[in-house]
Amino acid sequence: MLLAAGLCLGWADSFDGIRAAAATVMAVQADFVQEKHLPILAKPLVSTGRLYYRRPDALRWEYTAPVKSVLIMDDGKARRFVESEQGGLVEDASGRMQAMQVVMPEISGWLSGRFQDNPLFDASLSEGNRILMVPKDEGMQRFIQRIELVMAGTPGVIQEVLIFESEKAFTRMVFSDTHVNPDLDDRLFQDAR
Amino acid sequence: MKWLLAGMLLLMGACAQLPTIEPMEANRIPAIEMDCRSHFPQGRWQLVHTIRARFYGGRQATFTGVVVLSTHNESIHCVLMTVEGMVLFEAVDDRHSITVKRAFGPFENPDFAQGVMADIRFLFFMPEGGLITAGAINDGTRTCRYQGQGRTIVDLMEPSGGGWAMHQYDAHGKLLRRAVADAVNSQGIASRMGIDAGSGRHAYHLSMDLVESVKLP
Repeated sequence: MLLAAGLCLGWADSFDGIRAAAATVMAVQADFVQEKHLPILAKPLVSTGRLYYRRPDALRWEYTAPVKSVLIMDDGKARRFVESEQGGLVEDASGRMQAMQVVMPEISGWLSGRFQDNPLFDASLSEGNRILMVPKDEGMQRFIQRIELVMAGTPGVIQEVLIFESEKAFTRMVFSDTHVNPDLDDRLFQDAR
Repeated sequence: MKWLLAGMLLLMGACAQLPTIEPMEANRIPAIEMDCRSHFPQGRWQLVHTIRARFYGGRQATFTGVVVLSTHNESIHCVLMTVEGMVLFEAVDDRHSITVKRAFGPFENPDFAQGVMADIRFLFFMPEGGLITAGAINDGTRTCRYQGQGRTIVDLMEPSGGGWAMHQYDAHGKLLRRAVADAVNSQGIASRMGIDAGSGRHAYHLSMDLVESVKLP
């Protein structure tokens, strides 16, 4: 079982392998469960949603609970739509925040296997099929200490993302029901609804 | 319908000064006071809300807010983060001073920390100065009037349409904050709340939906 797992994950042993595997991934669709861990919280805050990605940089990051919201990245700019009090989705100013403008292109970059040529993070391979990413800029380290990506058995697929703001404050996203190269409608990346 | 009524009450409140309260008979006041007290949680609580903020000019932003509060020592620890979980602001108010542990961009302004803590204290803590009187205002709405922090006055009202509302006035009777909420549960926690505060370009509205409440030891 361990051997099989090791063989499966051979693609993630080097950045060249990761890039080669990612080159075969033109689109991804996956469900995710997000846990927010903070020292202040008695138990993690859980959110659920779905991710859609299509090369080169189209991304839809959709939360279904506890609040419905959709982040769409188009032409390098992130926009967020959140369910209003009246029930429809409305554009939300917090999507323009600098932090989100940084994180969204990063996610797109990871999914296309771009790690080493990243101007914001130093990337290294770590044990447990992980890629460790540390911000180059001290200013950025104020809000992200490091990011860990855990590779899945399927070549080119990320299983888990951990974003550490500090050792005790981190976000863990676990992906499931991942479909590689599904046929994705253009409207997913243009229309929040 | 309940929210429409609450909204109307807010609009009426926007034009109002400190309203006159027709006091209840003295023997009824303890029961009313007890009822008013039930609108505030007691003990230590962790509350998580989805917060929709609307600012001057119509700009909207949505956040997740976490508050750990204790009525024992009147402390507040709050975290404000994006829906995606990125922490934008974290601060502790130990009742004597506010310590900002983390803040980015517009949240770095010290006035913001003061304002957040004042909003939380207004919404979740019984006014510290105690009950001044209880009775009914002009339209018959049952009201408890408290002495708040500083020289503020806080009216807690139970509109006939349901839920509850609170108005905070300064010493001159100028309205500082208004809140409306659904009826509280047996623990003093409402599933939906709204607050209006600030004035002019600094005016804002927060709509808060309870995600979870956890009673802490």
